[in-house]
Order: sequence, then C-alpha cells, then structure tokens
Amino acid sequence: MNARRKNLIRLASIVAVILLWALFARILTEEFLPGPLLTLQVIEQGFSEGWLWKATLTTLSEVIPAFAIAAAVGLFFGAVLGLSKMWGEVFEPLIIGVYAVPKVTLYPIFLLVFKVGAASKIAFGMFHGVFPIQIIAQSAIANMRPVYLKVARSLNLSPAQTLVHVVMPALIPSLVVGLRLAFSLTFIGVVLGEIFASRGGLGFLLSAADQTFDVKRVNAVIVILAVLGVGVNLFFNMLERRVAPVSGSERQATLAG
Amino acid sequence: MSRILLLRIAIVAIAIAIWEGLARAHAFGPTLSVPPTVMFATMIAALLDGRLLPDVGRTAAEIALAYGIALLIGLPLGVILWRSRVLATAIEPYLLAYYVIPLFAFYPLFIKIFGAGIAPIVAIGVINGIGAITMNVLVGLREIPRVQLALARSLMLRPAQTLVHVVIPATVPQAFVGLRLGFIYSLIGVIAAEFILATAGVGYRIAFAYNNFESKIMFATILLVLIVSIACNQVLISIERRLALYRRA
Repeated sequence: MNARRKNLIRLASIVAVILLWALFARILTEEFLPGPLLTLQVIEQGFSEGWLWKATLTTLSEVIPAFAIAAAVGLFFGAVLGLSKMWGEVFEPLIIGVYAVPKVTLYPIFLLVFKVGAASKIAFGMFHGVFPIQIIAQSAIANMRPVYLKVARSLNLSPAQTLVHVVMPALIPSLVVGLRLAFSLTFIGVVLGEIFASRGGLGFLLSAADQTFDVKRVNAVIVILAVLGVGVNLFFNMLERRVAPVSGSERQATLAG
Repeated sequence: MSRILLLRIAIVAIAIAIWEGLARAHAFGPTLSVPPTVMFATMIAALLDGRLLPDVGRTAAEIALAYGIALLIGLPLGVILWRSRVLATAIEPYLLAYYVIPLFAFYPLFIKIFGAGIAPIVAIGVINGIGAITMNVLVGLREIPRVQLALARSLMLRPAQTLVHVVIPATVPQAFVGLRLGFIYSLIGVIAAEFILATAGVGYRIAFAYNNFESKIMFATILLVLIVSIACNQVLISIERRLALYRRA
C-alpha cells in the first residue's frame, strides 16, 4: 500500500470517528451526548472564560515536574542497575513486580503523606512514570554492545568523550521510547489523582462536571485530555524517528509491553 | 543464582523490618504508622471473619466479566485487522495512541450510558484491556513466518488444519503477552473505577477507609490487592516464559 493511500485511509478514519460521534449525538440528543460541534463551542467558551485554561495549566504544572523527576530518578537507577550485572538481576523482578501493581490502590498513601494539594499529584504521577524509564534505561545500558566501548578505548577517548560520543548515541533511541511511555503514564497518574481527590486541574474539572451532570464540560475535558495525550505522544514519535533507527515492530512491542 | 535470590529476599526483609521499626516508633504520624505485621494480621483477620469477602467477591466478578468481554472483543478484532490491511491502516493509529489517553476519563459517559451499578465499572475494565490484547494478537499474527503459511498451502492443509498446526503455535507466545497485559490492565481499570464511582468492591473499600481515617483496614485491603495482583502477574509471567522457550525450541 503506498503512502498516499495510507494517509487517505487514516484521514477517512478520523472523519468517520467524528461523524459517528455526531450521529450518536443526533440519535441520543445533544442533551444526552453533546456532539463534536457543541463540544468545540464549549471548549472555545472554556478558553475564553478561562476555566478550561486554568484547569489545563494546573494539570500541566503537575505533569511537567512529575515527568522531570520520573525521568531523572528513572535514568539514575537505570544507569546504576544497568552497570552492575548482579544488582541489576537482584532488583529487576522486584521492580517489575511493583510496576504491575494497580498503583491507584496506593494513592491514599500518597494523599496521607503529601496532602490533597499539587504535591500528591506530582508524587503519584512520578510514581507512574518512573518505571518505564528505569526498566528501559537499565536494559539499554546492560545490553549495550561491548564493541562500542572497545572502540572508544582503542581510540583513547576520555571518559567524557566516551559518554558523549559513544554511550549517549547508543542509548538515546531506547531512552526516547522510555520517555514517551513515561510521559503517558505520568499524565494518566496525575489525572487519576485529580479525579479522586484534588482542588483543581482537568481531572478535578471532570469529576466536578460529572457531579453536576454537565456532560458538555465532561466532553470538553475528555477532548482536551485526548489532544494533550496524543499530541505529546506524536511529538515523541517524531523525536524517535529522528534519533533512531529503531524498527517499527520493536516500537510496537515496547508500547504494548 | 541462589546468591541473587538470597540478596533479593534479604533486601525485601530488611525494608519491611525498617518499616516495622519506624511504624512501631510512630515515625510517620498517627494515620500512617501501621506496622506491616499489623497490616498482615488485620488482612488475615478480615478475610477470616468475612468482612472483606463481599468486596473481594464483587471485584473478582467485575474483573472476570471485564476481562471476558475484553477477550471476546479484542481477540477477533486482532484477527480481523490481520486479515484486512485497509482496516488495519485505518485503526492502527488509534491502537498505537490507545494508552496515551486516560481511558477512565470516560467514566461520566459510561455512567450515563450504562447507569449506576457494576456496568460502568466493567466497561472501564473492558476498554482498558482491549488495546493490549488486540495489539499483541495482531503483532503475533504478523510475525508468522511466511514460509510456514506457504508450506501449509503447498501441503494443501484445510483452513482448520492451518489454524491448529501453523497459526496458533506461531502466534501464541506473542498473543499471550497481550492476554497477560490485558488481564492486568482490566484489573487496574476495574479497581481505579471502583475508587471513583463504586459503592462496593476492594477499590471502594480502600477509598471508604481512607475517607473515614480507618488506616488499619485501609492498609490491610491495599496489602491484599497488592499480594493478589503480584501473584497473578507472576503466574502469568512464568507461563509466558515457558511459551517463549517453546517457540525458540
């Protein structure tokens, strides 16, 4: 299938989804399910009146630090455990075990430790995002081809040069995949935290709108969440293509795994 | 190998011992200072006197239902997308973007559509599970070596024979990854949904205990969920490893 036909089909599928949404809204009535146009109007109104801006900025102000901390902590522990074969093996099943746990069950503990404000969302989001980076960084470092380091040694590169010219280029492709997964999970963690207990942000707006049966706002928030999630993911996908000859099937496998 | 296992056990034991000591010294304040031994004892007691059983039963039923429906939708969808390149091209971007959207944000719509009760909770479990199942089944089917399908044709195997002798053995290891993740994601979706909108179930029980400052039962229930989900995952991972070995052999 050529690229043009592919793009055409994808465009058609987006149009189809929007049309289906509009159709359901028409059948069920817009009071029950506001359609795409009405939702767009509410979003526009939300931005011009400010409440949607405020909620989006609150959520981003929690997601960004959470993501930054998750990336730093995950990279650090990934590097430490990736460089030591023994400690890597000791900790790997423990980390994977914690990763598979339904983290939402632990959220009350985050609330008790960090209180209801932004800190608990940042910590909870970070807790969601730290694992993929750690796991991917550890395996990338542990599986780096020894021949790279041999070349660096035989060229008499300094440790700093080895890091910049050999280690980093070898790791960056996997790290970008890790960062992409980590962002999604951090974002999801923050929003879930906001829905359950908070005083602001998109998750808070969603649960408040649900409690007042304001479906128009519910739909508006869902669209913003989707745009943010998909938008950042596309950004990382572009980054992946630029930095990396990672094959398509490998990228899919990491997403699914 | 055994040294590694010993170290692993030692680390967990030391971490629990430190936690126990700090909690007994009330280092975390009144609500958080529940020692692990007390959590465990409370969990056993609550299971034995039946206090937790209705919630556990309800959550288990919701997860089973959600996972069952996710399989019923996700497996055939994977096969259909493998057979139809046009559909695959149209739907694959959605699958790749599936888990980047907080799916439980749809809960207000599910309440509207399905009403109160367990249906919207199961629905969140279902949509959380489908993506991983479909994606991995599709990847598994695509990885069937062409030469095996060609061989099946030249041996004039009937479709059913091709399915049993070629397609299933070649696909199962990768598809099982999807079955495992689908189960875990359904479980996470159900419990997250219970936190937000249920009136029973372990997620609700934890949220209720949190809101009423009953830290002992809260920690006991959290511990129960953690033990059960880690155990499920370990069992599934060991099956997955065996399947992967079988593929290589």
